Amino acid sequence: MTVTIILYIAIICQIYLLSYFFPQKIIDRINYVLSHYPASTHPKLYPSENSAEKATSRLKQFKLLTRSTIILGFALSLLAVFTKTKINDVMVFFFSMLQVLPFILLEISELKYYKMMRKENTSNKRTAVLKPRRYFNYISPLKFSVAVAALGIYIVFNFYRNDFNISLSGDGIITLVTLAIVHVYFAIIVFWLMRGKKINPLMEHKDRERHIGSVINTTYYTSVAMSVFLLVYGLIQHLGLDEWKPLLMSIYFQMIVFLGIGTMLKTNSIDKINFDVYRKDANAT
Amino acid sequence: MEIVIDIDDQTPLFTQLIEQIKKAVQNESLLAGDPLPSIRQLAKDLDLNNKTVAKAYQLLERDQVIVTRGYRGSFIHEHAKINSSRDLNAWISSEITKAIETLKASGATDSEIRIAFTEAMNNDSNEN
Repeated sequence: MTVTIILYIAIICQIYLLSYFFPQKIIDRINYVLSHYPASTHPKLYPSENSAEKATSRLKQFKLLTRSTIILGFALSLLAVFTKTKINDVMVFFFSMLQVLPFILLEISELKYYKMMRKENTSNKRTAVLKPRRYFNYISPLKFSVAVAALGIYIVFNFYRNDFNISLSGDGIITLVTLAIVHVYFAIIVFWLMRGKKINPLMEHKDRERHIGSVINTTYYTSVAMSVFLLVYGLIQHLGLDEWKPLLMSIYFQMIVFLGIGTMLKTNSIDKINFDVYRKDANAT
Repeated sequence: MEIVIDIDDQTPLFTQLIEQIKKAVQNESLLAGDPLPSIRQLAKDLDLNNKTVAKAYQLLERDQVIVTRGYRGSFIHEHAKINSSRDLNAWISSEITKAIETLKASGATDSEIRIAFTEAMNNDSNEN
């Protein structure tokens, strides 16, 4: 009973954080940019004539989707209470994915926006910093080794749970393959940001460095959180405490979003960004 | 240290790169031992071909302004400040002027000098 009460409290927290708190922060941030840096003073921020309208429309869609997940979350929770359905970890997982979906869609439209900016950038001046970008410029080797250790501990624990018997059809190997895929994906993103073309062609170098740093930190925290989550999840399963699994899943998603989006919003706060590069008379960077 | 490349400028892109790196060394924005970005990173940041940046690095290495240490990357040469103030183009120009003056004093005509110069250059290219 106590676990169920804690689970409902966690779900309410999750609905607030993932469907209201962070979405509202993002909405406020974009609205601030649209109102303080309009096309009349910062035309380079708007690659096409209707960019501002498009951004507003995307923002409305984002708001609608996130608000819908609030209603859905409360409706499903009430349904579970009245029908006395036991909430399991799979339900929490799918609901969390639904909550994360608007963020992914917003990120995709942001990438499309940058692509338009690159296409419209006709400046003949190009700049670069004469400093190599290296992974450990953004994250300390100590922090990195913590992530490696967490992953290592989980892998050893996973093998221990399976009596060091590696079977291709087992759950353990599926989890390990999934972990490997996620980490390869992180590596590709980091490599693409550090060695690839500028996503935003006008972004100042300091802002770009900060952006890369925040993405690297996000992938780092996600990796650590994932290893810790899987370790605790396996431990719970091992001890037969299955009723704690949905609670753990909820806490995990909250941690991921808190560390991921929270870090991103904190390190890339609006007042740190140089918007002068988007003025009409500004030279390209 | 930031460099700016003008893609509409008549000066070749690799020359602009060389000049700016040398300038950065001279005004001590880049010091001996400072690491430089990889060819790929600089080419991507400036939206240039890798070969353009590689050519600039190659010429800077020839002039002993930078030094490449295998997989560790490129660094500013320990004598870069002195070496970057040496103007190889001006030296080439002065040596050729001197040679032309000598040839003309010996009675060679402009076309003979041009033909001989072109032949010498062609022979050198074939040998290389």
